[in-house]
Amino acid sequence: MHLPGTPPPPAEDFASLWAGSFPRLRAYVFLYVSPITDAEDVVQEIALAAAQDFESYDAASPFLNWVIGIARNRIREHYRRRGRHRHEAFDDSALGKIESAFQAAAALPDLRRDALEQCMALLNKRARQLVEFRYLHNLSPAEIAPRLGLSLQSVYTRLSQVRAQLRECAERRLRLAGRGDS
Amino acid sequence: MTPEELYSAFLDGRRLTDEERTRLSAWVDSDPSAADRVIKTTLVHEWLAGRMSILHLLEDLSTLKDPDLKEDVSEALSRFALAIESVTSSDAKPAPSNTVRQGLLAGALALAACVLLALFTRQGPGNGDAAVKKPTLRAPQAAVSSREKRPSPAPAPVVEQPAPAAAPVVATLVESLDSGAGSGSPQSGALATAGEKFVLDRGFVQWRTEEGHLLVVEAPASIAWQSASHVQLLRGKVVGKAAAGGAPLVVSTSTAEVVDLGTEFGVAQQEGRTFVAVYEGEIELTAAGGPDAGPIRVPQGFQGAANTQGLDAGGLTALRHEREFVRPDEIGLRRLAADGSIEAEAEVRWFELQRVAGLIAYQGFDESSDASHCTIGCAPRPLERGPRTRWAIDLNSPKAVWSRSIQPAPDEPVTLLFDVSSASRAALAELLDDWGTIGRAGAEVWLSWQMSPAEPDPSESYAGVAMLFGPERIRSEPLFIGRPDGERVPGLHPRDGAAITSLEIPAKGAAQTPNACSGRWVVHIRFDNPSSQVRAWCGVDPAEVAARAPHADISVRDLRFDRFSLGSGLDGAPWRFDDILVASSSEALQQALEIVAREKVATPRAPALGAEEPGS
Repeated sequence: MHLPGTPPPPAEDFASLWAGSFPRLRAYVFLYVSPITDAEDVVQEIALAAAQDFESYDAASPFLNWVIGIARNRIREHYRRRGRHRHEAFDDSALGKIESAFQAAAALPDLRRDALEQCMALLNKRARQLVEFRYLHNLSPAEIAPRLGLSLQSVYTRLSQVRAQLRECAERRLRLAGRGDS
Repeated sequence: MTPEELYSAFLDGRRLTDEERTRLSAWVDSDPSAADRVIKTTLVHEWLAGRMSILHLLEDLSTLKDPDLKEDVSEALSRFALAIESVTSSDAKPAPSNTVRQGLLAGALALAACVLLALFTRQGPGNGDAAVKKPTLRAPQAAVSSREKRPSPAPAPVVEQPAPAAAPVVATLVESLDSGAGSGSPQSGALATAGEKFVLDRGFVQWRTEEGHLLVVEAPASIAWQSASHVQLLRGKVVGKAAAGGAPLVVSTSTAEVVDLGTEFGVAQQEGRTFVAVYEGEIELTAAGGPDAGPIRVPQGFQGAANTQGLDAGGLTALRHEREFVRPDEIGLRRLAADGSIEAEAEVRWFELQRVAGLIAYQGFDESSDASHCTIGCAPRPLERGPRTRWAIDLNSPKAVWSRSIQPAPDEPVTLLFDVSSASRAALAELLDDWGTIGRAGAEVWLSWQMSPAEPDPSESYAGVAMLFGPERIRSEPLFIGRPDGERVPGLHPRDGAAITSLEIPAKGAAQTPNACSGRWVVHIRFDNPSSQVRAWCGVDPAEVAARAPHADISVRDLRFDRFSLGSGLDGAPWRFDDILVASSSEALQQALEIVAREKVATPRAPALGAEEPGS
């Protein structure tokens, strides 16, 4: 909250603050909203709301925490529009633990992205093709399955494996680089 | 589906059932690492979504330095822009059908795919880790519907990637143990590229391939990396542990090819022969040639081999033991041992003991498992003992972590049963006779054990080891070794009616026990029919027995055994026995004893003698 008597944060700071928090914020939204298209819509709404309400941001507190507060409202709004009343994957107890883990991870520098960039370049051809279908062409697993001659279940499984492979590769590289876990 | 796969499927839009939601929640609640894995999986998902966005491609263009690549990408993006423009301008005209609109966007996205592939290829493995890009930051994206930005297009054509500028990185060296120091020695963090040869002269290393497979290399060995899932074993031994999913791990040799089917397996290439042992899952073994080249499937717990003529005629056999190869878990233990863990060091020595060629049996005395642990080549439940048997301090090291010793109550001997089944070490070493006991004519064995009285024992009561065979009710005891009943000095007592032969031990001074040999015994038996030759030494360094005359040398009729009886007589002190070994050669015996004697001390595990509790 912007305190009375203190100057509002300069508007030009918003872009850099947003850019710095964008990956974490989007990951937060992805935790709650699926599929990607819906999640990105919610992120856009958060961006607009945050920009409009930026004057109320207290520069003494972390920007990410502030914008996640907005995100919670927008996610609830999204759920309401979709006629949903709860998270589809986790109950409240599990979500509490995940939120705590998210907060802890958000406090660390985001070193993983460098490592992921390296690991991405090492994916084999078939894994890259799967990633491109899923993320570049935004195909659903049901749409990917006939294109790769796989069962729907296999597509789910292989996407999970690719993510695990990237995650483990990035963690390994960070360990080897002596930068620990992020 | 595992919980992780289920969550990943949720990220991909799968609707979860109530039961699946409950399962996922229970996973997060019960597994302390689950929340962290959920976060990290989501971060990867988010990163992929951002990395594959059109905006990111445009940012990539601004950071490219390679003029040729920049020109390629610019050209592709120009065509992409034209495609987008044609879609946008169509808004002013009668709306095209969804199919046409999607087709145009699909074409544009296909071009974007070309750009992306070019970036992957140019910035990827060929340029190594030095080509790491800076992280990119984005201003807020325009508040337009992501459905307009990210339509679901028709399938993009699969674009062939141009050949990489250099061989790709296929594996990272993640552990190097006892492999030397200095610039020429393998270092953790080293990268291997496709086609690269790796030679290991000493120690062990562990690689992790970019497919996630683990490969342990045991010196002396040389390998050549073909890809992240294919390694050529030129000589020596490797163990592969395949990652779940992805491309299978293939190990090829000059005589065979081994393809994992979700497994952990060892491959040895020695003297034109490929030997395979499967520890988990299953592998497919194919010989390089010959009339019987296979492939055959080798399941968990079995081993097979191939040579230049095809698969071994002997077919598959059960694994002799689980530690023929140095496996990834042992690499982890070796690292802990190198960092000072005495328990890990003891575990590593235990593995080393199992792989001593020519070791037929070993028995330590682990109290917690009633001696079922610390046993090699013995029966699954190796001991038959009375209720008054005690566990005592290890005779090798009073503070040993390995095991303890056993102290039979007077006149209540403990029986140690050897494994004489058809798959036993004794059988594989061709020591078994027609009755299934150790004693085949022409074979030889080396025996060794330690024995010591719990207190001074000047009595003439028996104390030692008897060799037994036959059913319990009519068991035979062809030979007793130790202090025979009624004797004051140690000796060999054949039960075939021959006289007791006392040991002739050269005096070593006042420390020499006058009436019993306390310490390590070594006995050599050359079996023959009808009589076998037995030589015994007591209190001599096993490494020196070949150079020393035996303390006793006798001939014994009908000598064979399948168990030992350890004990002492009623009128004397109780005796303790420890580290009982049977080997098929003196070299194997010495090697095993060297491993046993490397015992280090740790937090005392055995209480002081006075505090010992009776075994139950």
